[in-house]
Parts: sequence; C-alpha cells; structure tokens
Amino acid sequence: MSIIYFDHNSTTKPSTQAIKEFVRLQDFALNNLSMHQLGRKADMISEESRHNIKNLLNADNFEVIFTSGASESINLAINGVECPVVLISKIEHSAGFNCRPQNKNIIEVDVDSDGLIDVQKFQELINLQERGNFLVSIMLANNETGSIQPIKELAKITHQKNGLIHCDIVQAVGKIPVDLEDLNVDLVSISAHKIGGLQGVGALLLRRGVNILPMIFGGGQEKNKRAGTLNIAGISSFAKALEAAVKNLAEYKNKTKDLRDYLEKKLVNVAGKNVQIFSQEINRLPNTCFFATKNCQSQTQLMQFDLNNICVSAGSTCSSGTLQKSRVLQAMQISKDFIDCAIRVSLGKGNNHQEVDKFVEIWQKIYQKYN
Amino acid sequence: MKLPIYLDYQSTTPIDPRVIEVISKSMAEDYGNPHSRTHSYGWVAEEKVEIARRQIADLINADPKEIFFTSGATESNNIAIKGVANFYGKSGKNHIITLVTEHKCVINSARDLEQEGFEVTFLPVQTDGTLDLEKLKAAITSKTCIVSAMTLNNEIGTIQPIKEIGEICREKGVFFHTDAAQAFGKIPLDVNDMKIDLMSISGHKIYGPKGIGAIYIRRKPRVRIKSIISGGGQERGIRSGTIPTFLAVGLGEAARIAKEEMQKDFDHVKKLSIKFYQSLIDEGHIYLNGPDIYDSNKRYPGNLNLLFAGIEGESMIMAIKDLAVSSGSACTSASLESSYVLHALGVDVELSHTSIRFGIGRFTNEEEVDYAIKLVKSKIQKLRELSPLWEMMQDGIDLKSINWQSH
Repeated sequence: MSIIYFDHNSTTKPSTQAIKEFVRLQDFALNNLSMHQLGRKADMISEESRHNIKNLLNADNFEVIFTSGASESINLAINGVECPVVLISKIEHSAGFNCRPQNKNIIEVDVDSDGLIDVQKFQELINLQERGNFLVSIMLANNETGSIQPIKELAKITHQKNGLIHCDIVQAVGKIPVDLEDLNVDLVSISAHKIGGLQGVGALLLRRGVNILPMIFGGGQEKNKRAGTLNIAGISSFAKALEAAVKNLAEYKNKTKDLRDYLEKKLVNVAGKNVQIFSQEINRLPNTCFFATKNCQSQTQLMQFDLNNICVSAGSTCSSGTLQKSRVLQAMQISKDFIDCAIRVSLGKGNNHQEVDKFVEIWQKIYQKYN
Repeated sequence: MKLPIYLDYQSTTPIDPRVIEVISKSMAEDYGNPHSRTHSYGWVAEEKVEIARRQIADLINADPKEIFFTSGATESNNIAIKGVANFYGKSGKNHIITLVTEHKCVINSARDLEQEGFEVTFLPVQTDGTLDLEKLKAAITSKTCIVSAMTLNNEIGTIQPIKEIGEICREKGVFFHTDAAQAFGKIPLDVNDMKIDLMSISGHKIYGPKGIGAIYIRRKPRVRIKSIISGGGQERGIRSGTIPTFLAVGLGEAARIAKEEMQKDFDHVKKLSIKFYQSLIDEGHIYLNGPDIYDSNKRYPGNLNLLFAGIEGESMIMAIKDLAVSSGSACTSASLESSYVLHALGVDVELSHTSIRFGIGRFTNEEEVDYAIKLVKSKIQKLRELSPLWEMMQDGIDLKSINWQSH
C-alpha cells in the first residue's frame, strides 16, 4: 500500500526541476572562488541564483547570504545582529527560540489563544525598549498551526523605535505570497527543502545597510558573513524550486485549501464540538490543520497512523527522540488535555481527497475507541 | 579529451558517478525528515543517515556515535576550535595552539577567539611545512585547551606527524583537533592509533557532494563542546538543523569508496604526479613547495605546488587556460594576495607570486597529464622571454634589491 504523506511542513519532496538541476551541475567541479573558468562558472551560477531569489521575493534591497539551511540562518540573524536585547515570540521555531546568546537579554513575546501576537501589547512592549538597541524575531507563518502574523504592522512598530526585525519565512514561502518590500522586515530566513528544493541549503537575506557578525569563519565567502565552499548545485536548485513554487502559488493555495477545508469539515462531522482546530479563526496557511480531541494521546494516534502508512506529526519535528508537547500550543494556553492529543496534518499539492478520506477513516476509529 | 582539464583537486573534486547514483536515488526516495520519529518516512531516512555515519566512522576507526554531520569542513573546524574553547575556556583553559599554515577557517576561528580574550599561539613550521615537535611541546601550558594541526595541507601537500602530535597532546592532557578535509579518504587515518580527539571531514574534497561534512568528536575520554548552531537539538545537540539525508548518504558512499580504493587511488595519483613533476623539473628554475615528492610519509603526491621562477602565477594561469589550476588555495587566490602558507615556509615574496598548484586526483588520466605537461612546457619559455623579472634574474640582479613601487 502506498504511503500517505501529510507532513509537508516538516519536509517536502524535492521538485523534479530541483533534482534535475542538482544532478546536472554534478558534472562540474565547482568552487566559486577558483580562478579558472569553472570557478567563474560557479560564481555565475550562484550570482544568478541570488538574483532570481531576490526577484521572486521582491527583495531588490536585500543581500542574499547562502547558508546550510534555515536553522543556521536564524541562528546567524539572532547571534549576528549587534544589540543587547532580542524580543522573540513564544511560537518561534526552536532554531530561534533555543538560540540564547550569552551576551543578549532575551525577552519572550506572548501570543493570544489563536497564536497571534497582539499588536497593541507588542506596541507597549516596544515602547519599553531603548531606541535602536534591539532585535525582534517573529515568524511570518507558524510551522505547527499555520497562523500568519501581522508582520507588516509589527515591523512598523519596531522601526518606529529604530529596532530591527528578523522574520522567519520558512513556512510561508510557496504557500502564501511573500513580498519582502511590503513586509518591510530587515532580516529574513528561508529554507530550500520546505519549498521543493533540497535539504542542506537555505539563506539569510539582509536589508541593505543591516550588518551582522559571522558565526562561521573561514575563507571569506559570502562577503565574510558565512564561510564555507558554496553548495553551488544546491543553491541553483533552490532558486529553481523557489521559482516553481512562486509560479504555482495560486494552484497550490486552491488545491491545499480545498483539501484542508474538506478534512476539517469531516473532522467536525465526526466529533462535533469535541474537536478543537487551532488557529482556525484567523488567517493561516492553506495547507495546515492542527487539531486535537481529548482522551487520545498523540503518540497512540501516531502509531496507529503509521501502521496504516500515514505520515503525520504531533507538531514540529523534534529531534530528541521523545515526543515533546507542543510549545506553540502551550504558548497559546491551550489546555493540557488537548495539547497531549494534538495532531498536525500538513498537506501538499500532490495529496487528494481519497487520502483525506482514508486519514479520517483511521482517525475516526481511534477517536471512537477513546470517546 | 574534455577541456579544460581539471587539475584543481584540492579546491574541490568532481563527484564520483557512483556517488551521484546513490544521491539521485536518495533524493527521489528518502525525502522524509530523518528527525521525524513519528512515521516510517522519517525512520527510513534516519536509517540511511545512520548507515552513512557508520561508513564515515569505518574510514577512521571511530564509533558511529562519534560522527556528527555538519554543512562542511569549514563549519566543522569552527565547531571544533570555538566549541572546545568556549566550553573549557570558562574553567580557565583559555589558550589555543595552532599552526601558521592552517586553513583560513581555523586561523580566523582562532583570531575570533583572540578577540574574545583567548590566548592563541600560532606555531611556525619548518621549510617543508612540518611542525617541529619540540616547539609544540614547549608551547603547551597548563592553560592550553586545544591544539589544532591540519593533517594534510591544502596548498603544499605536507602531511603533519599526526601520531606524534597526538601522543604529545594526550600526554599533556590537551585536546587534539585535526582538519582532515584534504586527508580523509586519501591517506590512512585512525583516530585511536593517532590519538585524535576531534577531526574535521569534508564531502566535496573526496568525490562526494558539497554542502555536507562531518566532525568526529571523541567519546572516551569525552570531549565536550559548546555548539554554534542551536535549535531542534539534532546531532545530539552538537549541531541543530535538518540533516540533508541525500547529502549524508552521498558522503557515506564517498567514504565507502575511498576506503575500498584508497591504495589504488594513491598509487594512481602518485604515478601521474611523479611523471608530471619529472617532466617539468628539467626546464630549470622550477621548485616544488613542501616535502619531497617521493616521500609519501610526508607528502601527499596529488598536490604539486610549483614555483616557476620569473613567471607570475596569474600569467601562467592565463596562458594555460586549458588547465583548471589555481595559484594557491581557492580561498585566497581570488583575492590575489600572495600565499601566507608559502611565506611560512620561508619562500620569498617575489617567488611566492610564481606558484601554481597542480592537483591530481582519481579521475585524472595519463592523456590529460601528457597534454598538461606539453602545454605548460610550451609556455614556460615564452613567458620567461616576456618577463622583465626573468631577464633581471638572468643578469644576476637580486630581486630582493629592487624597490617595488606600490600601486
């Protein structure tokens, strides 16, 4: 039986274009710092990719620093900006939330029960900060609930007090339109493998004039901001994947939203008010459904799903080997009964109604056994 | 014959077709997140990552649990030096020892620590690039936390007496890190026999993919480090971030092949390299940097760093466009500054500008080497005829006596 993959926010299959591009470039030994023609070819490819990425995100005023992925980008942003205070939302990805530079004071920013930053409260918090002496880090779309933050407003408030704002757009890109000029943020983290590119590549975008200290020192690559031989093939396939993702946005949204809504309707049909769908009332990603019913531990459900060849998760992919309770749901002050039982479905445009039916069929059995 | 002929194997290597094959397969099949513990896609990916980890460990006689994936050797070197220093620095161990001929990422990591208040000793090397062990012994103090010495130098091919360095460090209770980016998979390495505590490993220098590397960190006696990238706690907290499954698989395969074919690769490279060297040396006033080409204990033969007296390195590179070569390490060649590694050997500034590094590897064949020999030979005479430096040398003028005009 074929596998039903509903864990696209964790990682998604690389697009055919990305794979092709990666394989194509393996024919050459490419180091962009080499003086010979292959070096120039490598340099040309990386510059073209940089250029395309900027165009696709409307980021003409940004410089693109290639990294090994979003975790590194986020760490680089938070460590790299020279300022004594970092305000970070409680629902940030662990790459940001667990990044606690010793020389910085970290202030956690609350969210409401929908997972949203309260703009009014944010304004009050910013008012307390010393002018021009802080960095804000808030993600555009959350990986677990899909909630979309009012970044544009938060950026405006940040800038009124001359602060800088870093935005993790990892989950948003390819799922909703992202326009960096419009968002008016200063630092941006992005990952390739969440949008049909390959694992091992990401970027940090820096608005012109924003400076950072490097984390990885070495041969002076990426204007001394990130050393290491560029993964040229990965970078080029990243740009190709982004291009495809941006081009297919409308189709993506229609397909996944239709499926997601179909799924949620079915969940409600079965469990009525017993099912809680997080962040449902607010603007969120079209492909994500994070839900829970009481009395059935996530772990038990995941095992059942896996036995039936369905890949879902209980929140963000965690690495410790133990299933951790969702920090995002805790920040939203969801009651423990629900947090313990949460399941995240994150769809891709290749999924279909039959797969949703199958998922609901399995879930219904589990649900009815415990309720 | 495909032109340009690639003779820059220290900068990066062409990927082995067998590695491409496993990578391509993995890209299409293993797209699960290896950290997803909740479904089989994740498990399959994790299993493949673990096989790769073992393949890497096998090559250096380590335990797979001691291998951690990173984005490449640069990151590994940063983790090793800054990670150890930042962890043990707190308890007063704030002294670091490294060599003047290290890769820039080691030197710049050390410099960064220097700015933070650490004390760094940059040990000089002898004229062949090897470390004088007595100098090392003398430099280690009760405050030293780590010694970092490259196994095989990227610019001049020098192999350090790693085992001896390891013994000295172990005896003195100091951690020993070696940047083995150029050595891993090319010469035999054994972390236990050589008493290595940390080792940096690269994928793209051993016919594997770019964007992946690894770091070996000893468990017994345990080396602790403060991580650079925090987050999801992958790689047991040493290095957060999703492991690119297909790249890890590629590095594993590259390591497997290297283990199986090391001797064959070495003999092949040595044969071609000696032919190249012997054919050129007759032209006169051509010098090999680093140890003797025939001394395989001290020099990796795949590196031929030559000085062509009277010929600017850049003019030579332009003249032999059919050959993809470099005038030194890729990291410094783009900036046109002359090589700090050559200076460390005592090579004159004037002469150091005439260096060309020919890198020979697994896929170099005899036909290519013959072509390269012929091409370089044909240009030496011409370039020297055009060179005022050469003319002065022939007239017996000491180049050092010239007062160069900066511009």
